[in-house]
Amino acid sequence: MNLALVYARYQILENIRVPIAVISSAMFPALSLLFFVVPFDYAQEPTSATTAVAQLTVFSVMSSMLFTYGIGIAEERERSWDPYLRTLPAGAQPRIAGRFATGAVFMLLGLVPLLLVGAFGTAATITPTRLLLGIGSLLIAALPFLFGGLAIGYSLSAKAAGTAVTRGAGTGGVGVGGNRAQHARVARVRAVDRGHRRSGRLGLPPRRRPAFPVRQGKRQGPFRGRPPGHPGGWGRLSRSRVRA
Amino acid sequence: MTEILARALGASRRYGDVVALDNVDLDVPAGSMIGLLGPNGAGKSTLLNLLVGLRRPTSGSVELFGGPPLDASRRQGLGMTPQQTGLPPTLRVNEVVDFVAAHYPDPMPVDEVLAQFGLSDKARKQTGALSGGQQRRLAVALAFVGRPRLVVLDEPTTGLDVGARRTLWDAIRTFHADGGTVLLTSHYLEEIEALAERVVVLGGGKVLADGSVAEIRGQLARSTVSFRADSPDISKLNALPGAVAYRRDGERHVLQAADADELVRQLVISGMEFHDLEVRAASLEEAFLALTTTEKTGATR
Repeated sequence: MNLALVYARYQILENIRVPIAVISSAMFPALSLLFFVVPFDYAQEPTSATTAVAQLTVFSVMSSMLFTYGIGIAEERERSWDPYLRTLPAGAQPRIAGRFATGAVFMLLGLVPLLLVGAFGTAATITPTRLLLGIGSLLIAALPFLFGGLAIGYSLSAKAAGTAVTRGAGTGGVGVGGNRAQHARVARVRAVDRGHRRSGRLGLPPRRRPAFPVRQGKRQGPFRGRPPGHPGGWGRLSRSRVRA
Repeated sequence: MTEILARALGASRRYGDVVALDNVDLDVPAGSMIGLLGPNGAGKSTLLNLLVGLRRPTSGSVELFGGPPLDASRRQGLGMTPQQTGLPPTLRVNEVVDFVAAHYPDPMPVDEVLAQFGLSDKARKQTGALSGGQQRRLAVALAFVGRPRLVVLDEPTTGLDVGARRTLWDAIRTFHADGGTVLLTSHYLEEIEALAERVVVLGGGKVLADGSVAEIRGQLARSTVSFRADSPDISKLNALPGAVAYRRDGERHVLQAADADELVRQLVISGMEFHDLEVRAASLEEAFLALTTTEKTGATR
């Protein structure tokens, strides 16, 4: 068997035997989508929902690259297993290639829950071709983070790498914030469109136009008032609970 | 002429200001079993790291199978064991052995390796679930997986109980009897004495002595005479012709001498009362202590 595949196989095995680490890293972007996008109106708008999912895939790729390579390599270097591996009759190539393969596998694995939540919880849509193109461009977009992770992993101790990567993910939080700003922007453009269509004139829409669709008051998404067909009376229920 | 499997020529290694290894020459001929001895920080691990290609010498050169050890193909005939146990905790025992075996063209079958090191019933266990001694045995077993010509063992039996240590010694002896070459370090002089044919004593990054176990012992050329006495005259003991050193070890009085027979004769002539007389040759430990402490005092002088 090709040695790079052997390395990839055992690295994947090593990681997958700690399911909590795999699951938590795979679930984090999906949970972000669930908490910050799904409950809001724009989750029902195909364009903004698709954009949100796409942006979170980039965030997911970034964090998995920084974590697998940044912290992963720094931790491995601190074990005596690492110098032992360097005494085996294999150069650095199979190890690095195996590491890349492992990183790619866990990166793609991390996208699955996110794409599932996107597909079933929002109005996001995509054609199979565009999905493949998107994954392809994600692999390319992963490269800077891959190199960043390698730089962190090989230059810092595990503790320092942990801090560096969490700070990196902190800037990733800005990505999520940017996500929301992006939605506001999309919504504003739509409002402009609608305004134009209604008024039939060019130029800026009237100022009082809502900038954020959430405030438009239409009950669309989940968690927005009572679900359809609900008999009503949350209040009574809670009061009776209090009395009992 | 026998083939030289590993060689250091005037190899020095510095870590910043610290000279870990100072102009060391060492040949490891095929079929030999060499023990590297030295106190902590003597440079043993540094020398091994240079020989197996983990570090480059600051000056001088090292060779492995006639070429630079940094070249991966040179390490085809090398088997090494990690110093501390640092096995990947989530991999199973047979997986670790399989993984290492994948690096070699003609590895030993996994079952055979595990049987030889008494780990057959642990094959499906994750290494993190093994006891310290079992992990250590697995780590040493890994050195033999690829049927290497040269095995480098850095403190192979540290932390093992007596039984496990004997098992390992047997495995190492079998390997050597089949023509394998062994380079090992140890903190246990007993281990070096039991296994090594040749002893290289390192101290302060230099080779202090290099020879067979008997030669190293002989370098000290001393025997120890000890006895009990109720009221010995210490000044008289020191004045005995032939006595080079005196110390007290609990109730026993210990004299060192180049010629033990002569010392005993003088002791009897002196008319001093003594009992429980014991005469023995200096152990490797005494020779080792003498060598390394002279080095230290020599350096401070």
